[in-house]
Amino acid sequence: MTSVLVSRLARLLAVLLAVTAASFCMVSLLPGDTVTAMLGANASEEDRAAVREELRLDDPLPVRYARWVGDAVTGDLGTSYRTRQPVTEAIGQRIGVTLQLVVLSQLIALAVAVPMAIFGALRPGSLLDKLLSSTQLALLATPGYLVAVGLMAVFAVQLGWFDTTGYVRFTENPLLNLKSLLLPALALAAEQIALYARVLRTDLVNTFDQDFIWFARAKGNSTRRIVLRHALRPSSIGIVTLTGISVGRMIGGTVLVETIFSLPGLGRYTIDAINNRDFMALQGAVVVLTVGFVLVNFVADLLHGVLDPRIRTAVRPA
Amino acid sequence: MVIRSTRRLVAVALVATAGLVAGACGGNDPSDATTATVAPVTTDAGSTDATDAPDETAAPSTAPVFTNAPTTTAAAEPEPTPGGTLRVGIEGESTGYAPYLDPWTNAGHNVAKAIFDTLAVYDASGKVVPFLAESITGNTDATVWTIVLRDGISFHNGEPLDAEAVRLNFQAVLDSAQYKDQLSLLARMTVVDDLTLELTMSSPWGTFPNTLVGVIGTQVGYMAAPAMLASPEGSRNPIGTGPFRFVEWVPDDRLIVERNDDYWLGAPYLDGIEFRPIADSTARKAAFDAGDIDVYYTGSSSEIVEYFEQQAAGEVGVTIGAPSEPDVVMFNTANAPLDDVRVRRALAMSVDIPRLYDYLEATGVKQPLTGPYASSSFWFVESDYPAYDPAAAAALIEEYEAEVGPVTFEFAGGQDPFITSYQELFQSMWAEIGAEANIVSRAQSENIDAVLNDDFQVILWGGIGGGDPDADYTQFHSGGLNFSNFTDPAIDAAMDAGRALADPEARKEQYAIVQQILGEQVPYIWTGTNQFGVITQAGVNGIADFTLPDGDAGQPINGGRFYLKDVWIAA
Repeated sequence: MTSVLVSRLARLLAVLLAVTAASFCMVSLLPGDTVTAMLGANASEEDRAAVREELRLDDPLPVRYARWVGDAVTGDLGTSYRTRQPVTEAIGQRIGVTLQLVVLSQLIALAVAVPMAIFGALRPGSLLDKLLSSTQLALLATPGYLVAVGLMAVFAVQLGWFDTTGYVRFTENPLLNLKSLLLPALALAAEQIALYARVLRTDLVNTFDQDFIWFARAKGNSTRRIVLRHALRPSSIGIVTLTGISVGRMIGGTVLVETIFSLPGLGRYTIDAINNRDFMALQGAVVVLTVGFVLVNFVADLLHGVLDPRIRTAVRPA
Repeated sequence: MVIRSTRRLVAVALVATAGLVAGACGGNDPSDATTATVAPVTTDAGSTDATDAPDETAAPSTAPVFTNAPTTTAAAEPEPTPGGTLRVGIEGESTGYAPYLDPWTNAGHNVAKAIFDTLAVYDASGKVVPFLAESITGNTDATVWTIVLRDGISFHNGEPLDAEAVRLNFQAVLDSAQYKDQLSLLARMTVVDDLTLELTMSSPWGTFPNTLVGVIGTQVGYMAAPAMLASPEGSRNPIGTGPFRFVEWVPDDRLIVERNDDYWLGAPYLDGIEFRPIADSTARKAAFDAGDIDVYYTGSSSEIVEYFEQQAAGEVGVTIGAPSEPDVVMFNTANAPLDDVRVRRALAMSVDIPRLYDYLEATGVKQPLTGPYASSSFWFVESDYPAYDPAAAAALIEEYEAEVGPVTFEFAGGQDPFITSYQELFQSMWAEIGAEANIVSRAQSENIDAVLNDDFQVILWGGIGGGDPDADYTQFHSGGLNFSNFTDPAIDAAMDAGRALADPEARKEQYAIVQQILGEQVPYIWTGTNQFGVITQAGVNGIADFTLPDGDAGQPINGGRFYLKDVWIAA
């Protein structure tokens, strides 16, 4: 296990270096530059040169990147060019919101998708299966923006059950914190519900056709026991893998949801950094998002081993 | 001068972009690339010229000063009640709250106007009057300006607002690479005494006091405490002299201020304000409709009109701000048949403005114009701009066609179908008098290129007028960025003279000449003003109030920026 962890950590470091280097290069290729974003188009050449000198923007890209990595390993992700706030501090203020949002949306997605998939898979082709399938397709086809605004219009504006915007910190009031995140998390979960349900349903239908399920039925096990004890576990590998991958996509989705529901999360910070050529802020956000993505997938890989002993054996060193 | 021209070019491009889109469609958000409202010089403390102010100033609490639109619901308000926290939805977040460092949109200015005061503000007629300053006086050729401050004003941290504090604020701007252009003509500052600062300019600067009002792109007038100027954390811990003290800022979530009991104009009514940045306009409106915010503002005429109905039922309040840059149809007067004034006048005379407003869902919000400045503006003068008269217009077209030939031209606009339909409305009205407009739909950038390259005949445009006439210098003066190609030596002389004068009345005389000529020669059809509306929940009062130190009415809403010191919530 230790060697697996070491191997994973080495991969994490490699991925981090590759992603941050790529991000450094890509941002430098974008039209416009940091100095213009900071000073405006009409700044004098002297002022522009002074800022470039101060930020050492004229150094070659590899030199700047190496310097940034050197600072980052000490926990210093630099200072935002735009807001002059330390990036570590800014991310610290926002990471909790995004984490909560992602975790809550995943829980909602799984809580809804798993029963949907089971009911559909138990009677493939039935009216219920078709109904559930159509619902999933509708969720997949509806743009995230519409889902978010629609949820807001119904549950916040019409019914008044939730606030339209605003975030309550967990430390202020845990219940209100949950309430302030529920609608955004639901909006973020909508597409995931459909994806998870469709993948799990297909896997369950295949599993139900396996010999061991027929044996279990022949032994007189109840449907409930067959599904929960025998079929669900081997059918879950696909959805676990998808969950790991989806977290990365959801982080992108948080930009939209955080904007519509006015949540002070990392998604908005990232998109603001991109829009304003704020290298430091963007690099900091990229690091955090990459670490999060890799860690989630690391956990997903470990879960594969739990779910399927064959995988556990395969990753064990000889 | 090169820098100023470049800035103007950028501003024009931005405004034109907005004009091409918003001006012609239901959104109608006025651009903030230029000063939104007229702003001449003031040399006398609190000397609002009552004769220039519209009648509404007599009842500031009930009237949106610059409009004939329905007014706020506060008409039957009882005595103001102190207390309560106002939740204000703003359209975005700012990078910080240092006037000398952080560029502010309307959102930033609205927060800033709660925490800071400016040296000058607009009075009800849109004229610049001193606010923190007792007086702002220029010499005859506007090369030396003297600012005398009101006595006894302190920042929230107890530091006095004195001449040295103002000098430090100006110095912070001069030291700021982003903003030093705003004081580019400032050559020397001399602290004469505790309350007097003398500013020597490198060349005449008649519009200097305009710089001291907080509008988009100009933040010099906001006065920050010297301790804030000196602090690297100042941007996130603003200290001003304003009616509210900064308490807490959670970026992208909320900014909270509390009442300043020691405010120099008397403590405000509200206990505090919570500003909530809601970037998405649909979400902002939803938040208001759900009652999660008490105040928000919009540049969408159709949205404002929608709230008029609720206002009639007493459910909300709608207060319309001062007009900013108008929408225009611009003629290329160097290009036949638009080089003939008869054609231009005929085309203007055939435009039925109410039909345009019906299409834009802007009836009751937009105001018809006869020139670059609304009738409520200090700068407005009557001119010979043609009134709606399709029969006379048809006669003029007939006369031209008999002499020269058919009146046919290209009419350019954006690619949005809404804009194309808007153009078709003009097209049908012009067809009725015998003129043939061929609609050209292009990307905004292509339209801007076409104008810059003089490759157009008639186009939907914006970014002209609405503010201080000097801001239109390059548009009206020969050469430079005079896109309509309409020039007149008398206009050149008047624009030059207006720029070098300090006295507002003397300047107005010069700009009256310009308006008269534009009215006669019609290089533009003025299709209407753009305005912001501030929407308030029932029970929120005083949004249309902004009382100046001498008790006169100030301009409560300018563009999307407004003051909250006189706002109160009914118990």
